[in-house]
Amino acid sequence: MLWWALSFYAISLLFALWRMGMGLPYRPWVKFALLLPGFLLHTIYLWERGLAAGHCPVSNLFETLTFITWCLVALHLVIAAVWRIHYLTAFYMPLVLVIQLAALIARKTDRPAFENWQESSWLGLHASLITLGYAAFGLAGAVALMYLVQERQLRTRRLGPSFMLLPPILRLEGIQVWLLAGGFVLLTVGLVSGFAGMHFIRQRLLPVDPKLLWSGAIWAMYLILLLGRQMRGWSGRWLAWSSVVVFAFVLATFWISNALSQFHRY
Amino acid sequence: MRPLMNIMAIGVNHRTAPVEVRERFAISEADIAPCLHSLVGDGTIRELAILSTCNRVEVYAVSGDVKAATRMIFDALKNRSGLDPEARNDFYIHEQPSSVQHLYEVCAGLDSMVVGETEILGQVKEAYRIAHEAHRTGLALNKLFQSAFAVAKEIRSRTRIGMGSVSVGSVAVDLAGQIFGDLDKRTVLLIGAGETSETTARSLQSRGAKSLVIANRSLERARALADSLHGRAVELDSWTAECERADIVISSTAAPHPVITREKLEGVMQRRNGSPLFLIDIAVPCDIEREVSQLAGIYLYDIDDLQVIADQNLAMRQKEIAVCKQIIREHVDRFSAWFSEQGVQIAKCPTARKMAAWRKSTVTA
Repeated sequence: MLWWALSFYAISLLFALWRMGMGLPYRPWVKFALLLPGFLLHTIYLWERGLAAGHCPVSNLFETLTFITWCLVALHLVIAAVWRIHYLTAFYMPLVLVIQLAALIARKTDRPAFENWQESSWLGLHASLITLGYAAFGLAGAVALMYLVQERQLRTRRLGPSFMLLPPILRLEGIQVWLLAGGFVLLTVGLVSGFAGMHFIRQRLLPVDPKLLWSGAIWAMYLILLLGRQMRGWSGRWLAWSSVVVFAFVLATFWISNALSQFHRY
Repeated sequence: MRPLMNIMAIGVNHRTAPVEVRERFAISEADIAPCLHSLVGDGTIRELAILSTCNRVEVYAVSGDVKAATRMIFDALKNRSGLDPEARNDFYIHEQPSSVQHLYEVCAGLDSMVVGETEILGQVKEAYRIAHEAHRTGLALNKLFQSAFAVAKEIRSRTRIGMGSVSVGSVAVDLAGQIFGDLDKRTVLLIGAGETSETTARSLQSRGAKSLVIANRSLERARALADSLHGRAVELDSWTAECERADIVISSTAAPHPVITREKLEGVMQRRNGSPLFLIDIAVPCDIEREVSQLAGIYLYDIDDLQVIADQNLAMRQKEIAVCKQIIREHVDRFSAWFSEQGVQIAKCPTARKMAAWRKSTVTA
């Protein structure tokens, strides 16, 4: 089922790239017709898995990555509907495909990691909130990439075929800030739920852990990004570059932090 | 035996006639319905629609007798204008399938002065609406116009014929739109009160820009322009303070050296808290130092940049014409096949009866 979903996603990416390269408008109904079957299959797969496990399917690396890609597509569908930013498919879908392929490779290690069923709902909430937060950051990175493409065309006065098809840069900046703020809130609540669960359910404090330090660093980076824009008046270009770089760092180090962790090893 | 029906397109446009001639033949919107009514005649013209814009006057007619129908149309035009269309070389007469192809090209903007413009489609829709409400369209023209609208839509979707503006003012407005999105909350600052900057400011206002400030060496001239554009006039020296609040700056002073320098703008940008500034320099020699474009958040375009973009867009549209014509050819063939099949039904189409009813209702009213 996931392979079928992946195929629909790949087709929607190719179609978006072709239309953008040709400088032709991307009709919303075509976009949704290509994307929704894949998203539906993806949803059914996670739903069935969640029902079987009794919690949100984020208990191992395969599930977490599959849930991240689902969150990315879901968030994108909301954004595309609200802000009519249809060419976003061309910018974030490569990320979805790479992560989902990695997830399918990691499927070999697919086994339930939540051993204590009493804890599973708390852990499910904790992990799903953080996963949703990272999906928002990922989408913010894709929007930032779109911003950089559009901003470069404006700055260099070389307008490509996609120029009039992509949204105005101020709108992209606004969407990016909204996604960063949303992702930050989700990450914060997710981290707090982790601490609270440890304290109230396991009756102990979380020991110093590489994953915890890594999460704290990511949280701080995004806080600086948001404060820098709000209080220091960072330019849109600077914010976009920072957003892309920080998310690239998250992607590159996610595995390492998991591998080094005692409590978050999948 | 009933005569074989034909669709004709008779008219004059910007390619074939100068504006003085087109003006003479032009028919106002209010006069189109009476004109359709006057061409009822003896039923020689079965269906009829009139398109009259500033660039063209065209009559689309369905008739079994092309010569007689042409004579009737020419007589009507002669009575209105005082000019004899037959004596002029300005008029073109297309018969099926060339007439069908012509309407498709008109709707797609291929026959317009600015290739690919979309205004003409709305005008054709209006012409069709008037003819339809006057019961002067039947099976053939209904099908023809509906298919023309569908072809225009398909061409917009499959080609880049309508992409990018082809005039300097419109390019500037497009760029402002791609920076800010909606322009209705944006402030435009004019430095210098030249004619081109006024035109560009008007274009921005037509796209929603409401707040306008004019800084000029002659405050009197600034006030006069501010009155006509519903803006605010200020002294030229206060442009830096105004620039902190402005989103779009159009500069067109006659100064022999740059008025807006990098040094002055650095201070302005620091106080703008990261919000972008779109600078349009339409002065010759330039008013704005080129180096300012290195500052974050500044997008600088001079008149040459805008002209290059306009030319590129026009070249792109020209390149798309061949693709558009291929799409049109396919649809013309499809329409012609349908028209041949429907020939008898078109001949029976009771527009004359409907027309009589319409005439009666008009007289009663």
